[in-house]
Formats: sequence, C-alpha cells, structure tokens
Amino acid sequence: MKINEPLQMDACITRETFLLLQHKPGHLAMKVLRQMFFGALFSVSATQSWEQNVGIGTNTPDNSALLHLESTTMGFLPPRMTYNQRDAIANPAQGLVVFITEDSTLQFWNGACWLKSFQEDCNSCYFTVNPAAPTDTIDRTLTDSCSAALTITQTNGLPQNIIFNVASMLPPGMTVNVTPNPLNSSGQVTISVHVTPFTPDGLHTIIIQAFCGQYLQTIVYAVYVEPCYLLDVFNSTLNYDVASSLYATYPTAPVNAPVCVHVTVHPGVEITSNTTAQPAFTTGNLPAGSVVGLTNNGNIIGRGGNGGTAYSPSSGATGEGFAGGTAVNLTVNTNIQNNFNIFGGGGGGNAMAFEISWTPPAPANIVTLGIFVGGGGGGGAGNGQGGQAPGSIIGLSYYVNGLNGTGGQFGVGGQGGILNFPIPVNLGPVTISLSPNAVGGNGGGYGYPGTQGYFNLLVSASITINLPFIGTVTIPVVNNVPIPLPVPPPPPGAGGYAIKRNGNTVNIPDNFYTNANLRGQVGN
Amino acid sequence: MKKFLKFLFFLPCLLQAQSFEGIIRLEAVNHTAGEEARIVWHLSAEGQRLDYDIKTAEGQGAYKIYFPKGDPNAYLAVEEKGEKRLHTISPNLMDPSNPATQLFFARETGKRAPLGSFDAREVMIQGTKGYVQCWVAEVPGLTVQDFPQMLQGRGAIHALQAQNISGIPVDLKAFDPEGKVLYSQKILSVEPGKIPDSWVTLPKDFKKSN
Repeated sequence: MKINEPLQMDACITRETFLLLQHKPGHLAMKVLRQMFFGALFSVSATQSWEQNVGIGTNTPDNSALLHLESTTMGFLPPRMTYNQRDAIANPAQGLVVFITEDSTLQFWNGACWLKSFQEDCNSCYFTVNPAAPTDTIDRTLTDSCSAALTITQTNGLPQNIIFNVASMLPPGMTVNVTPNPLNSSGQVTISVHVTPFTPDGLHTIIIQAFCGQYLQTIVYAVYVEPCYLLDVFNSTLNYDVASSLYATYPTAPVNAPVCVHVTVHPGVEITSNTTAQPAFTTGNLPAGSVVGLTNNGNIIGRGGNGGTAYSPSSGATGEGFAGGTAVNLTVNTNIQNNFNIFGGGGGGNAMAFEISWTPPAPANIVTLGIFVGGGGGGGAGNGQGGQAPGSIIGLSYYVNGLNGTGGQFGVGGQGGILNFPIPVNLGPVTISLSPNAVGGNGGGYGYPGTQGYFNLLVSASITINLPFIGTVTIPVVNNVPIPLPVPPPPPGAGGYAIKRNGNTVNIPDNFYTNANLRGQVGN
Repeated sequence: MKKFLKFLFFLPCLLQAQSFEGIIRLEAVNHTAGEEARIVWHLSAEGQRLDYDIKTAEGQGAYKIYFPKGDPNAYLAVEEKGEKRLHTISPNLMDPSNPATQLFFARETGKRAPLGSFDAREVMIQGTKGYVQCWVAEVPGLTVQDFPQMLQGRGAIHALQAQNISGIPVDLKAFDPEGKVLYSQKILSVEPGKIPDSWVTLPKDFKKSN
C-alpha cells in the first residue's frame, strides 16, 4: 500500500481481513485485497470525517495516532534503501523515516541531517573499528614487540578526534602505544605492544577504549607471550656469568638458538670481581640474538682500579692510574630493572713518583743524584690497590705507598701517598737536601676516575771543602732549586663502566651516572 | 851602631814585607767524605789562590779558591758550561763541628822525623772534639803569617801560634776522640818563585752567586 497524499478518511481493516489475506493463495489474494482497498476507499470515504485516524489490525486506533498498526505476527517495514538512495530523496520531510540496508540502521531526517535512531543530533559521533579484536604472539627470542593495524571509520557526525586509552592493567615489562592518538575522524591506527624479559609469559588481554564524543568502543588485543628461562642469584659471588649459570641450571637450554633469560639478583647479594680485567656480571656466551632481563636487588660492583706505582723506566712502570672495572657487561640485548646498586669500579689515582737523575751545579757536580721519590696513587673504590714502589727500584728511594680503596656498598677510593718531609742525602763531600711535596692521585669513587696528584721537588746542594790547616768549610751551591719532572704527569685511571653495552641495546640511555643506585658510564 | 840598631829595628818590617811568593803543593784527604784532593797553592803579595783537583767515589772535579789581599772572605770560583760563578766563603761558614776548628792546646812531643825534604818535629794538639798529630818543620822564607787572613787564628795554625811553636805544619792528621782519622794533609813541596798578580786576583768575568 502506498500512501503519498494525506489520508482523507478513516479506514478499518480488521484482523479477519488480514487473516483472509494471509490465507488466500496467489493472485486470488491480490484480487481480494484490491477489491477490499478500493471498496473501502470509495464506500467508506463518504462516511469518514477529516479528523478520524486509521487503524490497521485494530478497530480502535489510538486517539493520538494518525495511523495505528497492531499485530503480533508482523512488523512495520519502513522504506529500505542504500545510503545513495537515501541521499537521492529530494527535500525530505522532517521526520521522514528510512531503513538503510548497508548498515541496518533506522534513520530519520531531522530537518537538517539524517540521524540514526541512537543519535542525538547531527554532531553525534559514531565510528567503526576493523578488526575489533586482533590477536598476536610474541616470542622474545625473535622480537620484543607486535602490532595490530586497525581501520577506523567515522560514519556519523562532523569529523572529530577519536581518542584511544589503554584501559587494562598491563603486566610488568609491557608497554602499549597507539599511534596516532588521537586520530582525526577516520584512518588507520596501530596498536604496538612491547614486552621485555620481565613480562610474565602467557596470554595477556589488552583492552583499549576508543572515545569519540559520547560514543565508546572497546578494542580487545590478545597477545600471547612465550616464556623465558628464569635464573635467581641468592648468594654473593664473583664474576657472575649468565650463560654459565643458564646451562648449569637448564642443561637442555639451546646453545645454538637464541634464548630469553630473566636473572633476578636478590637483596643482600653482592656480585664483584677480583680483577678489573673481568666484569662483576656478564651475560656471557649466550647464543647470538638472545635477550636478557636483569632485575637487580643487590650490589653489582666493578673492581676498583689500582693506583699508579711510579714512573720508572727501569721497571717499565709509567705511573698511570689503572681504570676501574666494569660492573655489568653485556653480550646481548638486555633490559635492566635496577632496584639497588650497580657501580663501576673507581679509577686508580696516578702515581706522582719518579726516577730522577740530577747533577748539581759545579763544584758539586762531582756527584749525580739518582733518586726515586714520590707517592703512589690511591686505589679506586671497589678494593683498588694503592700504588706501591716497583720492586726493581735500587738505590735511594723515598716513596710513600698509595692507600687501598675499599669495597662494598659504601666503598671509597684510597688516598694517594704523601711525601712532604725533607730528605738529606750525603754523597761524599756533597750534601743534597730534598724538599719534596709529592702527592699521588686519590682513587676515584665508584664510577669516577682517579684524581690527578701533584709533585714539587726543591733541591739544595752544598759541598764541603777542606782548607789547609783548618778543616772543612761547607759552601752552599744552590738553594731550593725546583727540579722539573722527567716526563709529563701520568694520567689517573678512568672510572669503570656501570654498564658496558658492547654494541648491544639496553633500556638505560648512554650517559655518565652519579645517582645513588647507578654510578659510572653506561655506553659502549 | 845607631845605623845598625836602626837596621835591626826595621828588619822584621822588611821581612814582613817580603812575604813568601811561590807555590806550595799539598795533598789532602777528607776521610769522612772519601775525598782526595791535590792542591796547588799560589802565594803572591797580591793574594793567594788554591787550585783543587778532587777525586771521590762519585766523580772528579776541580775548583779554585781565591784569597784576595785584605779581604776577610775567600771566594770559590767555578766554571761550568760557560757559566762562571763565585761563591763567597765567609769565616762563619767554618764547620764548628770539625775537630780541627776546635783545637786549643798544642805541645811538642820532642819527636823528630825526616818527612820528605823536611826535618819535622811532632806536635800534638788537643781539642774538644778530637786531636791532631802535626809535624812541623821550618820552611825557609815561609811562615804561618804568610797564610791568608781567613786561616789565621783557626785550627792548627791558631794552636801553634798560641804556644809560640814555630814552623809550618807539613804533615797533619786529625782524629776523632776514638782515634779515627778524619782528615789528613801533607805538603809535598814548597817552590819559591814569582807568581803573576793576575793569577791571584779575583777574575772580573765571574759573577758572585751568593
């Protein structure tokens, strides 16, 4: 039935008529219906007033309804069309209702725009997400992330921002990013999930809410994270090697394929080294491509560098302070969660002790002073040994050892040796008085280089002359002459690395750290 | 007679004016320092100069000491790498701890002995920090008054003068109280002769360094 003009009469099509129509087969039914329609139209029209309403399936249409449809077996079927067909309706009347077949929405013309039944006004936002529930798996030996690309289409309302919010509580070591966020109206967004060896294995359901005005959609991203090997360090040790510990704990762990290892250093544990040549902690000889997570709740401390001994060509010593040892050495990409202390060893102080050969001016030049004088460098924090005189020194030696650095959480660098008292030297008739003010460099604190010492040496010389019949006369020849250093002062030792990357990645940026829990260089 | 007496009166003055000129050669050993020295002592009316050649366990060296006439100080002259320096030796530099400077009493023992060309007499000189065995001999034309002013009134010279013991110490050994030899000195020869004044005057091109 098509009605395109205002109804000018009341019509009453009873239930019986509908039943009749339903039970009439084929063209017979159509014929009956046509007879009934035109019969009613022309026979009833004269008796109906303009103010009466129409009921279909009811004899008592509601007074408030112009057209009252009543049925328990059929529905009201508005015009069904596509968006294009809807938009082709010229001058739609306010309140005109259509059903869009493309998205199965009932829409009406509000005088300005077509509104879906759930929209408030023309700006009410609505969008679609495809897919709405992506899934992924992360094997951390292959990758530490996954991502899903979603197509967002704003289907209603003026173009506006769609905002994404990660609503679920993420597990440790997992981060989620949505880009771009916000998205302007329609386009593609990427949900990126990054995990670390700290992330528990298993299925993680990531819930992301997408807002547009009052409209909310929930996106569920299910990511399964493959497991890692777990290692625990409960006891203090020297030179901890992750690879060695892994294969000792898990003999069947692959040796040729990458592995994911999570090491936990427990509170109270101290991992150190007896030599700067070896780091306190290393990821060791793990297969290439492996990843390691280190959760540190203890002390990982590199060995302090030894203080310089002396500049002594005869013994091959240069006097340089020695570099502090590395705390954590990486051979694979690693994530570090440092909850306590990672300290590079302190650098050793330089020695300010020299082999000096000096000939006083005439007439005292009958002697040449050969002397070894000065102070050794202090050892760096982390048990660096203070500089001591080389064993091969012979002859006159005036040397003060540098002090050892101390270790442990509160370790400090040792003080350089201090030589600052006068030294008389008698060489036959020549007397030489040395006034040294030599201080070896101090050992550096954790992560710091050793300090530069200083050296001043003043020399006085006199000669004793025998006068006939009288005896000896002592004649000053030079007084407080500064003796130049035979070589430039040797440098102190560098501070040890807190974390030495060796070209691998770590989640702590390269820098020199001096904070409470991380001291020393992080870098290559 | 009057002229003779007048000659006798002025004789000492004439003798005094005619001070010794020539060379004395000595060798000296500082046993404490292990130093041996050969000394050539030039004496002139204008001054005196001692040339030292020394040898020690550490090396050898040479220097000169000038005693300008009328100057209470002596001057040590050294030359090294073109640099010429003079070190002033004032009397207060004398080592007060040396026994040779603390001598106060001399006595002749009566012993005589030929020492080289010298007919020498033994004199023992006692000091507060040791003693000296000294052999003195008369050297023609040479008296202790010919020695530089700095050497007068000190050491063995002073002790001999105090006791009016004549002669020149031609051989001398200084001992500590335990009898250990500290210093010895021997005159090898005395050679009278004219010494050019330029030899004994302070060189002008040397710079004083103290």
